[in-house]
Amino acid sequence: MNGAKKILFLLRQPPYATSHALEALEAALVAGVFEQEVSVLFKDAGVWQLLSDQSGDVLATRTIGKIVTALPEYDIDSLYVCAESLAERHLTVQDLVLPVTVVSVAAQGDLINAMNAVVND
Amino acid sequence: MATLHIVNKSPALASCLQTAALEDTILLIEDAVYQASVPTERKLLALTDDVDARGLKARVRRNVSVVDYDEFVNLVTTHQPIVSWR
Amino acid sequence: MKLSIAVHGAPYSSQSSSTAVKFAAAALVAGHEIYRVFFYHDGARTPDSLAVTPQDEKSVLDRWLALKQIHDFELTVCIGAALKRGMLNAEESQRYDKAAANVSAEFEVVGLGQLIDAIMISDRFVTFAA
Repeated sequence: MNGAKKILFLLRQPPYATSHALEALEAALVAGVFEQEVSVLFKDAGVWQLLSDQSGDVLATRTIGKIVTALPEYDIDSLYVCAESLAERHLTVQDLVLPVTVVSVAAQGDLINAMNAVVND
Repeated sequence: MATLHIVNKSPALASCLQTAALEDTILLIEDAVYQASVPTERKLLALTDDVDARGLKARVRRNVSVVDYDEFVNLVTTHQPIVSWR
Repeated sequence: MKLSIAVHGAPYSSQSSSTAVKFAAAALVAGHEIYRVFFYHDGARTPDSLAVTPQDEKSVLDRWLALKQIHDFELTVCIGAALKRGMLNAEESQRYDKAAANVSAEFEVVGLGQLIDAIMISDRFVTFAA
């Protein structure tokens, strides 16, 4: 879309303990509806949002992993995960709920700088 | 134009430092200003009201510059994007 | 420049709102325009008109309202974040048949679209994290 802004959602919070992950993802979906150029970077504890086999109903809340898989349905395909954050948590891409692009910390500064705006969780 | 990183909690600084490009600016505010009082390899900025409130004025390290809200506003206009770290 | 601000922290559990209002004041004095302030996450608790501030403290809500009186700009709170945290204006209170309404009249209760609109329209977008 002409004039669409490059917006990065920087997600660093783990899901479930607070509503930060849920509310940030809801904002990302709305940005998709508004046809903005949306990217998402899962970093630090935010990578836990990508883990497979989550079950939010046990906590009487929405399953964050399911909301993450909805992102491509809103044309949000630029999904990134921090390589170092995965490694620190003994995670590999096999453990994740959908395909994402792995980026090293060294590349993230430039990734961020290419954006018009960053939304924090 | 370089990125402005605003760090408001001390534990978040490590992740920010790993990620920020060399030409980016890092501003410490709120509780993160405590990090201005410990040795840092990288040049940092710290918000004056938060430094003063916490009794840190005399403890700010040499490569940390203390800035006021007017300069904070200026930083926002001269950087893009602006990222927060908590 | 046209600036928009997001506030994520609630009064007392975060310094977020207090820092943000001082930033906003400085920006306005410098001649910039504040397009919208969007209160999200726990920041949605900010416009609670039922809060009684201790005498030796300044209410951050009062500071936002005072600033808005001098420079007209939009103070908005996300409806989803507000409702689940018990922040209701008169319309929502009636809709959900609740005992009271507490959102300060100067705040507009809006959808997430207003956050995205603010980012689309503004030259700069700053978040004051929780």
